[in-house]
Amino acid sequence: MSTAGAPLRVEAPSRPPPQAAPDDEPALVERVRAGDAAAFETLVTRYMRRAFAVAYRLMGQKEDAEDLVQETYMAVLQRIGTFEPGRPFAPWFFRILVNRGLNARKARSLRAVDQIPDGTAAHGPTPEREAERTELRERLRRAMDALPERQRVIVELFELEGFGGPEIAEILEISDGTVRWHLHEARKTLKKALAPYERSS
Amino acid sequence: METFTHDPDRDPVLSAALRDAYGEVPEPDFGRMRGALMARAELPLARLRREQRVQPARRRFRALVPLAAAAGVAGTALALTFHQPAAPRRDREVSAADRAQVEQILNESLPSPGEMLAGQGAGDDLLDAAIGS
Repeated sequence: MSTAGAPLRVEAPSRPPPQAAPDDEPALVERVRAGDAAAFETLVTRYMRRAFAVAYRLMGQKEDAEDLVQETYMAVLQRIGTFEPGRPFAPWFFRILVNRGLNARKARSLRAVDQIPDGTAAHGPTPEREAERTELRERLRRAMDALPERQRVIVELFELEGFGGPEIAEILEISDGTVRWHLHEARKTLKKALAPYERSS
Repeated sequence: METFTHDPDRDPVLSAALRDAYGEVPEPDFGRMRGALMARAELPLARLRREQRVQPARRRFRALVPLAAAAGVAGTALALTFHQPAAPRRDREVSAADRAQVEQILNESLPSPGEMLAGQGAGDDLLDAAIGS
């Protein structure tokens, strides 16, 4: 693999930090429990965008991600009676989403994404440079696929979707320390895949 | 050695590389998604509203069950306390005159035992004796 040429620049787009649960949430959940459609729509609107992003990371395809989001909201309505009042809604909601997503991914034996996005070639890199990037993407995806399921989800939620450690711990029902350990281990593995790129840049 | 006691920072290089490898999240038609979702949610929401209406009545009914059981137990206990068991029935004494009258009727209406054993008694006599007329 050639590492010559200008260093590969990949910029992390700034993502808004995860929103704190608004104060009206317990009341909203209580209204949904009573079958209030307006309250349910408020919750849908509030979490839909982020839910879709997480679902997309889990499923790798837009249609599958849309289905997963819909199924998750339906599951919320089905299980709202078991939701403990006073607990934050978001971790409970994302736990349902992530668990369903992992099950669906297992069932369909999906690989993350098969197509390479075209947008990255917009600045006209040289063919050699493009080949290098393609190889790097492939390496990274293979490394992600090889990670244990839990580590992979943690990386997706933490590095790509901006969830915090404690949030992930609550979603996956594990301790903060375990999240940090998994993240550390996953990073070690992924850094190996990134090593040629890091040397070049 | 790394300790795991603090919340880790995001790794910008890794995040960017992953984003580059997997691409950005596409933008679906959220309006359409919300519409489809709300349409699917109509039935489960209606079910929740129904449950909400039924639940208070169910709760009241549930509260009444132990009361009814307690009332039943108390009623049974009271009934057992106040109920006097009936005295055992004693057969009426049969007077000597009644007994004599019965024997006389039987003697008149039945053939003699000898005739009966020999099969000479009329069938009607046996039937009459059996039904007591």
